[in-house]
Amino acid sequence: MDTSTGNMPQTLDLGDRVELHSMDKHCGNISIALYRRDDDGCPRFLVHTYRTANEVRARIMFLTQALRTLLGLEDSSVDAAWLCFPCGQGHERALKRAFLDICKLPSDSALVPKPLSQPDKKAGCDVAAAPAGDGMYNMQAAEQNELAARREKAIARGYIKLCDMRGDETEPTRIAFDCGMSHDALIGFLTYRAQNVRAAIREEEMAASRGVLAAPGQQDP
Amino acid sequence: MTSRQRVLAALNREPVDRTPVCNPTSVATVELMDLVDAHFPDANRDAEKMARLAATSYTELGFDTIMPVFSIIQESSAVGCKIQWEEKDNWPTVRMTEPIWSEPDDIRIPADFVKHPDAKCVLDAIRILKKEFGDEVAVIGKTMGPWSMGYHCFGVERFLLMSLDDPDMTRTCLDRMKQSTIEYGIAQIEAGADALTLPDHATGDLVSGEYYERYLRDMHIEFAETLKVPIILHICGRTVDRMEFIAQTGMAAFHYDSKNNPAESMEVVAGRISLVGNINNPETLFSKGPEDVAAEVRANLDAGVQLVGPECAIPLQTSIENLKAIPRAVREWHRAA
Repeated sequence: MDTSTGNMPQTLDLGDRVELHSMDKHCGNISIALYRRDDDGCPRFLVHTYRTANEVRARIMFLTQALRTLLGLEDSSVDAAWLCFPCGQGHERALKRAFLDICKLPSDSALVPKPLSQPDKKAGCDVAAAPAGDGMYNMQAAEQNELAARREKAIARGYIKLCDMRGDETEPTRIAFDCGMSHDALIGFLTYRAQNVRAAIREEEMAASRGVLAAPGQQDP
Repeated sequence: MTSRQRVLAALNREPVDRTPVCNPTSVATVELMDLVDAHFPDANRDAEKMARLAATSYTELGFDTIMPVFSIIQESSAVGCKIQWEEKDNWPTVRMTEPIWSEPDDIRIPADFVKHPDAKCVLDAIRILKKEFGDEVAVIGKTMGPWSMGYHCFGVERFLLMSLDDPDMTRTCLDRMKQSTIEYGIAQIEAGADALTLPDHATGDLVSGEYYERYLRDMHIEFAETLKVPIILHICGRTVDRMEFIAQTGMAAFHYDSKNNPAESMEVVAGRISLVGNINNPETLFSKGPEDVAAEVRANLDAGVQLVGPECAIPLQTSIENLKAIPRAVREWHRAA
């Protein structure tokens, strides 16, 4: 073992780690993290792994491109490896969830933005997040019935939880980003999760307990 | 002072140039595993990988200690327990639903158990680290206490029920199992360990302070007398009710949990044993940010705690920035003092 400087890779100051995918099944079980820096008041994000194997670079490039295409992030003016939202806000809660889902994609996946209107199994029809300007979206089911109306409200609540969006007390099917700008790609990508937000939260809770060492008396049998 | 000198002085409650940052238990993370290409589960079984990953506490995080025994299962594996080795992002565990002993007469510590590959790799890792770092940094080993071994080898429920129903049988079991604690500890000292962590999970939620006195205090005194390096006792949970007894053991330090208030704990131990740890794992190190970590570090320093570090083995997904915040906060506190 040679730990002298120059022979060992070193940790970097990459800002705050906002999310971690601890084992990437699509690339040698590497750990992939999303880092955030706010150098000039504008949040920027970087996909990073400390693994240096050859195949890793392509995987990081794929994930970075997926953040651009599927979530609408764009290259930062400071450094192209770092990405930012066009609105200049972080939307961190939504980004964290979307990042974990993007890490599940194999590197040969076609990167096509998800549409704003998608089938909802429980409603039995398509439900659209219709842009209403100034960062607002209205949930609109393709069919008019009681079940579909309930699902419009449930999906709106799902987005509020997943994306830290603002609800509208007088119009429970309306949601809005605080930045006042539209984020169609992000909304489209997270539709599946907003339709079943409980599953997303359950998944997050399971991930949070993994890797925590419990005393022998507290371990599950 | 070198890191090693600083740690050993603090363990002996002697003057130090600054409070040492110490990890009596693991600070391995999945990102550090990637950095040095030494991943779980292999890094628990391969001495070279174990040493490489452990060294990052000093080379990358800026701690004053290196602790290569990440898990709590090495000697349990060596005496025959079934182990679930898990993957990179989870801890290996003993399958306690498949206990290997049920009576005192079942207890067999194989004569050469320290030569079992899962025990020997720790000894080899310590040798590698001592060769690489010499006297620059304190290398800490780990030998499990008999109460923890009882959970692993008898199963938690069986062992706890035994301690309720049959104190004599419990004492006989503990007395027989302590052989592994002593032999493995001595083997690690011979390999070069500067200090030993001795986890004995009479934890606050399962075992009372009175139980600690009844079953473990005298045995821990014996360990402190027999193992000729500073011993750091580790028990999870709220343990203020037994700190008086722990302070009587002659051990060098108590690795204490964040469920204990630093100032209250310092008052109870009253200078008879050093305290180390207390930085909360699941909430602070894992889920919060560097400022929150620094606040807990300062609370320990303000209380006069001798060594600062995480309360237990940190979650494998902990961020590097939060771990680096511990030594940084210690340096800033001393600069401001």
